[in-house]
Amino acid sequence: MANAIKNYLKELSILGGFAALGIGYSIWQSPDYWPHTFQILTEGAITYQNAQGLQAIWVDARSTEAWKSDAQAGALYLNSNNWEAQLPKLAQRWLETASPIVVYCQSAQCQSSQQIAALLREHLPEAEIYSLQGGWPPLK
Amino acid sequence: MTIGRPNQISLLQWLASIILTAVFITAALPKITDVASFALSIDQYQLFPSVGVTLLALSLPWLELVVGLGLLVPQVQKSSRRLCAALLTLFIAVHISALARGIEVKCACFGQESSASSTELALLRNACLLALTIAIIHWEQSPKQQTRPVDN
Repeated sequence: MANAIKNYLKELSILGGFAALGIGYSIWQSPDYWPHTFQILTEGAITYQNAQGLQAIWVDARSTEAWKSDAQAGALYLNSNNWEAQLPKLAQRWLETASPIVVYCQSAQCQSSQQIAALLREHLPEAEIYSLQGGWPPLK
Repeated sequence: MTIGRPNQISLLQWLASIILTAVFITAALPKITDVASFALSIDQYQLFPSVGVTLLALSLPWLELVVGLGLLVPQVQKSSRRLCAALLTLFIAVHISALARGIEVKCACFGQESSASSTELALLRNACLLALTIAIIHWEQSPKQQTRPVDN
């Protein structure tokens, strides 16, 4: 009995060792997945990596100052303050290109991109609309 | 004289192990190459906090791979079979939990894009695989001879 338990422990430690090596390899290959940094995508969000391949219409939902200082090339400035004025422009652009729309705000913690994306989904129900995970920093 | 000729049970055991190994490796590889998608799949079940999801997404595929390969390696076969049964029981419990809570989840058991299947289908598949694993463990414990004496 003691021998059987000893054998099982030996086998388990071998299996565990190989699994640990694999896990270490995965973490080493992709530091983004380190447990303390990893973030689950919120519903309707997209990573910058994935958004890059979309040829998306970018929507900047940050403050006026931030927009003026720097913005994603070709991005449309749209937030709750200029909603009425800018929405038709965005709709026009979407009708012309039918590209997905990606909204970004200032940081990973900001909520405005999600709010604007939700509003846009109501007004443009047929459009593919995302909020950018991580906000502005990946675009810099 | 004694010939090392596998009997029927060991042949069945070997075939079942190959099937399980193939399933586990096929399931593990896409998840290893796309950790983020697998994490999202786990998150759909709404069972674990974000850190737990990440840890599972990183460790579960490697565990599947190691256990799958271990089923064919005599030195670690016994533990691999039991871990295999434990993993399948865990998967079944998670699927039952999703069904009980009315959560609609597409099981990306073999990778996100290739084969998203319904919870019911995944449950049935895992139950069959668990039955196969239990059969292997049962055969392993049967006292039948692996070799038989043959008169020359």
